[in-house]
Amino acid sequence: MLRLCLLCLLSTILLSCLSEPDCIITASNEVKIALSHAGYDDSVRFAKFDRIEVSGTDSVFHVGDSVSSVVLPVDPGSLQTTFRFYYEIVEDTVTFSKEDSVKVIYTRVTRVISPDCGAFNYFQDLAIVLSTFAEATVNNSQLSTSDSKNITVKL
Amino acid sequence: MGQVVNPEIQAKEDTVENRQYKKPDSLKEKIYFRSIRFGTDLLALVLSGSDRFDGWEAHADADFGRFYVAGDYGWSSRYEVIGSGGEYSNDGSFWRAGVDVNILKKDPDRNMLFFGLRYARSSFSDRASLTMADPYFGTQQYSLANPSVSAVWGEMIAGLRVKIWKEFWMGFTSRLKMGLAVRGNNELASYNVPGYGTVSDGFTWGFNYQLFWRIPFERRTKPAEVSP
Repeated sequence: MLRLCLLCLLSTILLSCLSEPDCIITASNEVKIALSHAGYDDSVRFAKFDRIEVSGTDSVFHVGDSVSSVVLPVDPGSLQTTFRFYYEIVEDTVTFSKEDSVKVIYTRVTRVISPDCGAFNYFQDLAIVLSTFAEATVNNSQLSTSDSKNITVKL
Repeated sequence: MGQVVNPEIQAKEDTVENRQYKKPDSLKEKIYFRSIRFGTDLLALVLSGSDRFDGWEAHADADFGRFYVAGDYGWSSRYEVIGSGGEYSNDGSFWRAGVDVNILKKDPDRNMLFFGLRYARSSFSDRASLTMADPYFGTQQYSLANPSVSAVWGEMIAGLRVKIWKEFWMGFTSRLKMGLAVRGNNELASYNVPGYGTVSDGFTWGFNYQLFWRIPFERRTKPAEVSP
């Protein structure tokens, strides 16, 4: 019994040396937005984007892309971001040019991973405060490096 | 007729070598207050004064036989350089309270090989100054602070206490810390908690190397003598 206790004590002491955190980063400031048919559930919709503008930056995104989902960055220096979409959709062989916007709010938590890994912003509690789409819903309120969509908009 | 006693033979039989001491009738120790020990963590003193860490810990335990009621109190401040140019710092106090069980039964010097449990609490503040680059939004500067944070956690501990000279003791304690809950964080998630260490999911480990001074309250009595 005494030897077992001494072995446990020695193991405890040795394991106390293994305390450095792993440098695994899941933080992201990218929102994944999926497009869907208005009036249909879970129906993927393609749209051709002339451009997408994001508040807080002069960069434009997805110029000329015909896609069913887009990935856009939120402004890390603010707690809200507005996305403006300039796109075309085809209905009954007729092409329509449209302009819509979505304004999202979120919270930001800054977390130090380790002195070597550095610090990263984690964005969560994503919510839509303004949308001109037929419908816009939040699927996952936490932004991360995973592939899960955050918002679905119906065109 | 009365028995004649030779005084010389009687004296020889009465010498200390011939006295038979009564053995302890069991290894069970009665539970009553025997002594109190005060100590400090030598590792904290050695590490203090560096650029990254400053702090101290005081310990006390009360001897009730196999069981010891123990408590710690400490204070620490920490400073870290984060990445390239960022900084994190904190400062605050902590305390722990719990019970230890000595598995060395009736050691005459009251040496200890023990296991124990602790409830711990910390109150502190922390702050960070960070720079992060974004490919679309440029370089962002963050100056973040949590003025009042509290944390609680539990510990399972194991250790050794050995008498080195008169009432001076030396020992070490290994700690498995778990169940950390932090309250009072704003936009900055606390990186380090005084008394606990680096914040992590699950559990973390700690180690103390300690020096004690014992104050006995129990008068030592000679074992009962039994005449041959």
